[in-house]
Amino acid sequence: MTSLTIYHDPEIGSEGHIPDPHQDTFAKTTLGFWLYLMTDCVLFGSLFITYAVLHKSTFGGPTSAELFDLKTAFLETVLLLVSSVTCGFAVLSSLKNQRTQLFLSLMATFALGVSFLMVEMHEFHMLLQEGHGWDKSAFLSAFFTLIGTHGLHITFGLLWLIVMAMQIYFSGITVATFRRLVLFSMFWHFLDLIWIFIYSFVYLLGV
Amino acid sequence: MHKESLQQIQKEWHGSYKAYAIGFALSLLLTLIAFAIVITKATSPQLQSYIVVALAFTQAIVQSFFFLHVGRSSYPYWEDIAFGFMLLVLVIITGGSLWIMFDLNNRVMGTMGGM
Amino acid sequence: MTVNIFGRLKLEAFHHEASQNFAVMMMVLSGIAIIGLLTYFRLWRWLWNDWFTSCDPKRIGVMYIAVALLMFFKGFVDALMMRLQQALSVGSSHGFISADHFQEVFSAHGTTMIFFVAMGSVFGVMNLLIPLQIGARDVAFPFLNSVGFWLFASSATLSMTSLAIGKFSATGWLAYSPLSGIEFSPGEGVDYWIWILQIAGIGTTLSAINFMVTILKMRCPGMTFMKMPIFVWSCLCSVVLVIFAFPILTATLAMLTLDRDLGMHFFTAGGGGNPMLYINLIWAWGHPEVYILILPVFGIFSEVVPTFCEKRLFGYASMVWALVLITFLSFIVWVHHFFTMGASPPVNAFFAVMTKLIAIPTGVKIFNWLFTKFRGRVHFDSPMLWFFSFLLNFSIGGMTGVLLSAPPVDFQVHNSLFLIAHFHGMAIGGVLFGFFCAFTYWFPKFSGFRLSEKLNRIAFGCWFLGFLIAFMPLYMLGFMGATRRLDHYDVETGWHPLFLLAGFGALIILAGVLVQMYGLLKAIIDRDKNRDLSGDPWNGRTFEWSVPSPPPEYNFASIPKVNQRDQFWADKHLHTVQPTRAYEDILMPKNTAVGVYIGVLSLIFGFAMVWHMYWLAAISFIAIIACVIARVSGEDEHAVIPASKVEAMESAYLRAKMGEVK
Repeated sequence: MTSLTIYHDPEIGSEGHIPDPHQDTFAKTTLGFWLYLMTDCVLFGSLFITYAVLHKSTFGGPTSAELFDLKTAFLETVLLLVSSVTCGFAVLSSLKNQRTQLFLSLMATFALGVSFLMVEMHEFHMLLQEGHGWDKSAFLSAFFTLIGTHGLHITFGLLWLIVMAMQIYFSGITVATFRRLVLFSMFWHFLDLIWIFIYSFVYLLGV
Repeated sequence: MHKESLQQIQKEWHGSYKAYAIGFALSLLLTLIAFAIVITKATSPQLQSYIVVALAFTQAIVQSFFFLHVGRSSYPYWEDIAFGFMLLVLVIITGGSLWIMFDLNNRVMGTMGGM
Repeated sequence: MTVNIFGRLKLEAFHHEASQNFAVMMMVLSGIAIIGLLTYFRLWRWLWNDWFTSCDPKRIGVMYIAVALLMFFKGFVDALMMRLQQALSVGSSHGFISADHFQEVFSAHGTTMIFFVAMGSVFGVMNLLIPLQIGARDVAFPFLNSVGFWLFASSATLSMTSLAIGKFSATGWLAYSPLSGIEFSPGEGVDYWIWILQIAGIGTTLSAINFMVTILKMRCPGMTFMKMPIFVWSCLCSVVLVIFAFPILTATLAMLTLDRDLGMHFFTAGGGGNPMLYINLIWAWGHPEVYILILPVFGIFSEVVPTFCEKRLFGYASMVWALVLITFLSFIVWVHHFFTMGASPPVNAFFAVMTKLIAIPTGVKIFNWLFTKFRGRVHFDSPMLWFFSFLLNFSIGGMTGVLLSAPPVDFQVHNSLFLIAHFHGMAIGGVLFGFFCAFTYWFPKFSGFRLSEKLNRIAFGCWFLGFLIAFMPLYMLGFMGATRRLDHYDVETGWHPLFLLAGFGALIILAGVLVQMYGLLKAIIDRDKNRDLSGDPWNGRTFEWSVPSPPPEYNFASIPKVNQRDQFWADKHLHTVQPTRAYEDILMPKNTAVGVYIGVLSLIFGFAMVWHMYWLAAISFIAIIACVIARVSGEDEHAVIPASKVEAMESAYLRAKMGEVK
């Protein structure tokens, strides 16, 4: 990530050429987006704190050990991890302007992300069907909210992925689309990073 | 001189296939170990918790470095400084909140009561 | 199950008590008057093109301040109502507001003053000054700047709507659980409060990211960190606090919403919920929040004091370290807001010590300002008068803060009027007086004409006297056992005379406010007589004084070069010059309406969520996403200001400046 700050060359006067509006935009935008990701870390941190404080408040209902299925969690973990790698491949493909590989990587990332969401929604559905709704105890509230917030982020990411893929399809790999691809990869990697803590602290420590 | 070209940006990007391969392999390994320890109940519950937590933080470091390029921003390292400060804030509010809430719980519920 | 298209909005929502009906009527009438005036003078196009759709931080800054001033009016009326109620409601009399309404009044007062008046004026000043002081032409993300403002304006509008449609929250400015949960506050009030804060909070966070990148990456050549104006340093520290503290608020408000709307049990009294967790989280945000407000004010004084002492700031490096230390420490003091909640002595003691520590760097700053004055040539223009008022009132408030930081003392006076007097010393003595200082100091720069110094002084006198008379009695009342938020008390308490005195002080403040309003109007009417042609009416030290008043859209025809602190002062007095360059074409961001649309849509979204019109909430939310997608799919949003135009504007400025200097 470059942080070169380029200013107007004092030798160049107004000879009818228009200065570039994209001065340093890549570095500025990646830093700005990184700062947003830092705010998201604190947001998730607050949800994790809440889960840590409330996870034993089952109000007489079932505990995490009784409800969580590690096989599901493992599947979700692998799906997201692989999608994080395919996302990285997408960025690497764009570095060499390899369009086909780029779109294949993006499609793989999308498919894996959607699969992740489907497994998660199935898990939620089963819990709700068995009567373990988010309104039944503080533990369940905290669980659904923490996992659900992560899932919402994934959903937004998938929507972003579609819009961005379309932009690249129509405009090609430009300064702007490359920048957005990089930002997306940062976002997607970040979501996998958060998931590490979810599967570790919520699922693995919970059984 | 002042036009930021696509080539210029692409050249400075840190990623590589090797980095992703190593990151993926390590992450998968750490994940497998963590799940295995818990499923097989190979150790005492206390030790199991410590190992799972340690593996989680290790994998977080792995993914931060290999995927998110933390530690590899160029001068003046704003992204790394922001990341470090975020960690500091998280340690403070998490540690502080847990200390406060568990302390309150002990005072309000008595040391006999669970939470 | 039928779904009502209007959610839970019913006709009763439009019925209010007499005093509220009056307020609504005044609001509607003034709204109609403003719309009428705009239409009569055909100003809509100007308003839309020059202001609403602008991405110029100078315009956005003025709009922030305009909204802050409007909301101040609302918050101040709330304050007058409370003072009047507490002056009247003794013994057999119960004043003129019902107990229920009184709850809403103090809740609205706090919410309005913190989130709109204080945050609005601080972010307004940041918008106006940061690009100019760092020698830049704009902020890092101009469009995001517009979005941030319109989210702020939308939140303010939602708050005004809560006056007219339904009730506002009755749970104080922080809505403690379980009172704010669905069981004890089933109505729309707390939901209004939640969405007002949530929308404003997102705007604030986006703006903070914007300013952080601006300060980190857009300083002009040669401006290293230790050559930056202290105001910019203070804003950098403030936005660091926003970025790392506001997400806690976002998460906590979201959890309260889930408790209320989906029956969850985060903070409920039953179901395993933990109300104390709410208080812990909300103050983990809440304490950094108050430093977010005060740090830029410290920065303002660091600009004003040297200018009016004709002497450079004493102890620049220690000022920077003080700011950094305060920033860090403000994350580890938050329990002092709830010493009485029942934590054990080790917990309370730790946070007490941290709180006492934070007074030290603050003291360093105060002494540095004082040392700046030593052997300087002090001018007592109104900005400096506001500084002196700050010095007295903020110091008193600060010292009572150190008193409160001792848990044994706090156990006696927590939630009493002693506490109220303390934090108003901080909020009014600090934040508000700092804003008035900034307003009188920088008004000529951004409007192009001066305020009447005489009227400024009269207003200052009223505020200075009024504040002391309104708030010193509250310290005494706190010791006498008067708690906060009381709408009635017995004669036997002996509090009545002090409440009367406090009410009298509030009336003096009212006089001051009226003089300020008159002063502003008069200045606008007399503007041609009081033009500032030099661009530097106070003999300033930083770059904003090196450009015309008001500054051109592009700020600087040539980006300046910095070799030392207070470079502009050096250029003026040591006769160094900025390198001359030929005029060039300048690229500036184009206007855009998308920020306005996002603001309006978020207003609709907030309103819909409050009244459970979920279909409308969904539509407006999707529309917001559509706006964002449209924006990123659009063309490059820049316009060129040709070099010839730049040259013409600069020549006109230089001619006017020469003309003024005989």
